[in-house]
Amino acid sequence: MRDDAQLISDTLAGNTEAFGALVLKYQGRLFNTFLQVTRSREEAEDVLQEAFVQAFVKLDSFRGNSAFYTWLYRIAFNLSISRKRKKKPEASVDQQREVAGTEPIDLGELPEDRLLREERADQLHRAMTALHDEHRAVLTLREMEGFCYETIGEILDLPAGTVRSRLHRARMQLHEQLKAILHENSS
Amino acid sequence: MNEKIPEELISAYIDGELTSDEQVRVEQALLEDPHSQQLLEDLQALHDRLQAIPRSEPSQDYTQQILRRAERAILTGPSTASGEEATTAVRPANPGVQANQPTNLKHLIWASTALAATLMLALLFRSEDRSVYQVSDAGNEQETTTPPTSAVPELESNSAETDDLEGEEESAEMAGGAFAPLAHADADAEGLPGNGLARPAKARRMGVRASFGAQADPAADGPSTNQEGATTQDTVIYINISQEDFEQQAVLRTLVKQQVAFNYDPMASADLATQDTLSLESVAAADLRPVEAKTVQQPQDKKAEEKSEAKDEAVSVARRRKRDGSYRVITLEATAEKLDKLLQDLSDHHQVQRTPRGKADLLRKENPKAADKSGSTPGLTTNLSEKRGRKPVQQPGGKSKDKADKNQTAKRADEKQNEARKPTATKLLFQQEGQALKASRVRIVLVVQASSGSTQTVSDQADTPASPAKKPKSPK
Repeated sequence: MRDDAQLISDTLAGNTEAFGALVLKYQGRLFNTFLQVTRSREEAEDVLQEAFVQAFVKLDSFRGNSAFYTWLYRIAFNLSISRKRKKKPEASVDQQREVAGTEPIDLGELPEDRLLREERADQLHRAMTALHDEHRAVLTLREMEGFCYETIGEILDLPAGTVRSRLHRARMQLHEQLKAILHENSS
Repeated sequence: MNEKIPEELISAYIDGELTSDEQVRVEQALLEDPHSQQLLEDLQALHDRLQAIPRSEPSQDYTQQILRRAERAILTGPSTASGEEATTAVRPANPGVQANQPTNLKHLIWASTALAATLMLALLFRSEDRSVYQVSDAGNEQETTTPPTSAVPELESNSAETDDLEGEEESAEMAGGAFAPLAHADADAEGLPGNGLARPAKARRMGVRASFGAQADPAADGPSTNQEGATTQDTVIYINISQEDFEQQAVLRTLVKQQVAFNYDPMASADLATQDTLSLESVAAADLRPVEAKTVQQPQDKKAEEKSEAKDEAVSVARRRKRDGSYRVITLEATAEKLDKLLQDLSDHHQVQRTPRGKADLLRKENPKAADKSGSTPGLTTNLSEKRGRKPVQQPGGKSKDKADKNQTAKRADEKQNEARKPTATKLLFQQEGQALKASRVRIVLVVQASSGSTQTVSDQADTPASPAKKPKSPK
């Protein structure tokens, strides 16, 4: 499988299929992350689509100083902020369920256990939605993407110290809201 | 002593983002402080919860949607709103490199399209394929051309050649990507007009059609170009071209570079070369439709007609002595402005003469002396290469030196007359005809100079009577 640098080079040489390979490689990962960031499946798809288009158009400006995915993520993230400034989406219950995704059904699971699990998932997503955007972004980048503080700071244009403190505040807020679940789980 | 540590360090401890000193502090606190231990457990549980969030997939055709939008954005530019967003979005991360990016990439796309077209031309010219290929740019998907449908079954009936052809089509598609075979015309069964000989079994038809951007599609208006003989409305351009330049597709490259849509069917052109005597005008007016579409004339009638043309029209050219010599005809449509630019480019490298036929005939009627004095090709109004001060192409071999000197003298006289017609007679003629903005049909007649020995020229006074005794070689 060709690496990112090769795919980028091929794309710049006019091979659109190479860019298609890049899209295929990263769309799933980006989509899940932006599902958490935007809290809307539709919005996440729109943001990513726009981000990929912009990345394609501006690909010759990519200097390779960072990973392609980081560069792409930064474009998508800035687009999502820009879009959010223009409109304030209202998160509906259906949207929350969309964001939560569909967990595989355990056929051996008792109905009450399933209800309980779904209730916990809803709580988690409500807690995530209640986070401030900048806290949720940092938390998503760390927990979903596994980026180090330095990369998160690069994407969000923040010092690593700020990333650490925001991440801690986000976790503590979630901790407060989900204390019951967490203790229940740990006990 | 039990030391209270900032909770933030525990969060960073989970992420492995502590310095060695901080790590020692946290681990010490975790040993001594139950609250820190509980917080670590809770944050770890939270981490596990977040990791367990089910993953979703975007829509199935999501990738295709993205690619379609990306290609559209490249061709048309991003929408205003999204373009602004994008600029705003990317600027903070990488300032200073955004300004020319879309333009650069567009140029890249255009350059690669032009390069692909040029490569395809090279491939097609070197092969002896009989397919007619369509060369189109990415943004011109709607272009369609109707091939001579009757030709397809003929091809299918010839399995050996079909196999051969498929291979060449495949390589063409691989090289260009945007090329699609349009038609297969097998002319084996047809008699060659003019000499009554059966077309050699291996005779093949090959053609190139190129279209660029919003240029008028030569094929869109039916048989306007390359499908029939030139009409009196056509502009005819004669270009003396060396064998070497011809083989390197110098003129076609110029057309590609200038993004001029054109049709070129070298086998149809090559039909012309099978005749003993041809005048440039008869070449220019020749019916270039596929052989199947022509009404095949009786050989005797054709010869008589040619002789008559050779008499009536003062200019004729030497009989073809080399198979690859003689003429090729390219047809295209261009506005006066585009044509003028093209002619200037062509005249930088070749000896070019042109005539809007209808207007030239008119001029000759109005001022027959002027036309006759020029001694040039009937209707010739402009010799761009001379007008631009370029030395005319030397004609190797062919006429005697005296004859060549006479030609030069006549050309100088012609040049003086043309000078008097400045500025740009071509534009004026078009404007007079109200065609400045309207695309008109143009025929470019390439008069290929033989590499050695016999020579054909667009000589002002060239007139080498045909030698009926000499039969031309049949094309391969």
